[in-house]
Amino acid sequence: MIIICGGIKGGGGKTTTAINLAIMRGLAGFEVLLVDADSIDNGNASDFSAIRDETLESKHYTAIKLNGKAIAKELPVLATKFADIIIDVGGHDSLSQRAALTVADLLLVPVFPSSFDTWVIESINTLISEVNVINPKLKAYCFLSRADASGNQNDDASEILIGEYPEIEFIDCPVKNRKVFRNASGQGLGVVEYKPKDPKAIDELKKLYQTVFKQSFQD
Amino acid sequence: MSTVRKKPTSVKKTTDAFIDQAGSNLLEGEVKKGKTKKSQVPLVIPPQLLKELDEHLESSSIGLSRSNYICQAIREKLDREEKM
Repeated sequence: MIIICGGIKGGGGKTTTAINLAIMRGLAGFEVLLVDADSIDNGNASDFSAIRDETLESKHYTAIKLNGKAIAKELPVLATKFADIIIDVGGHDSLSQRAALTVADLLLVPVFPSSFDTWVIESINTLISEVNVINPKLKAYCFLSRADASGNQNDDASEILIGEYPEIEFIDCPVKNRKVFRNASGQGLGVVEYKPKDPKAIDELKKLYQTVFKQSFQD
Repeated sequence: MSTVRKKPTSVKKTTDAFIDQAGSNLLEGEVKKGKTKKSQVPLVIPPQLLKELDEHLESSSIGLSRSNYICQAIREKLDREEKM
């Protein structure tokens, strides 16, 4: 399956989602390719993979950097060699993201629960309706990411996202804003690997994993 | 074997067109305006006419370049003559 962790706004948690799903999928025994398609060179999946290479003997996934139109040509070839390809794109409407959309199976859009972040979903909805002509198999999910641990902001955002955008399915898998995400990524680890374990964060990621891959996570 | 022109397929054309719209954030049905490549031609112009043109552009607050002014003048003349 080819999955894009995408969107057209930064700060939603695309890279965090991409690296954690890649690690979990790899730990579950699947051959995973993590593609860094972010044209900005700092603070992206490649940086994380470099830290992870220094930390661990095996990353549990293969990492590459690929940008631009070449993505549309290369991904279908790579998909024959890997069980899953997870692509981390930059937080804007980029050539790389559009190229990936023409061949992907799933666009996964993490949405920070704020007005600005929910408003841009309308543009993503339009983008998907356009690309569906070229790639009818593409599905799109959005979910709350970096969600508030308390308060009703999550509910307000969910209400906007449910049903308003026909091309994007809202999945009820909120991933809350927890310190463990920052701590784990700083050490080149996935949240499921980090110690001390954060059971709540792990449960949230497991729910997301199950919704995306239609299987429960077992490492 | 005959030599054939390399032609993209219509599917590739559609895909490329979609990808090339990157950054546009368009509403459905809108089309990104492509940049028209302009031609460069040498223009032979009498020095006095060029001086008058520069003085006129400098004194006006329109902020047009020489090229834009000359293009506008050509357009106006063509339109005028077409109406005649």
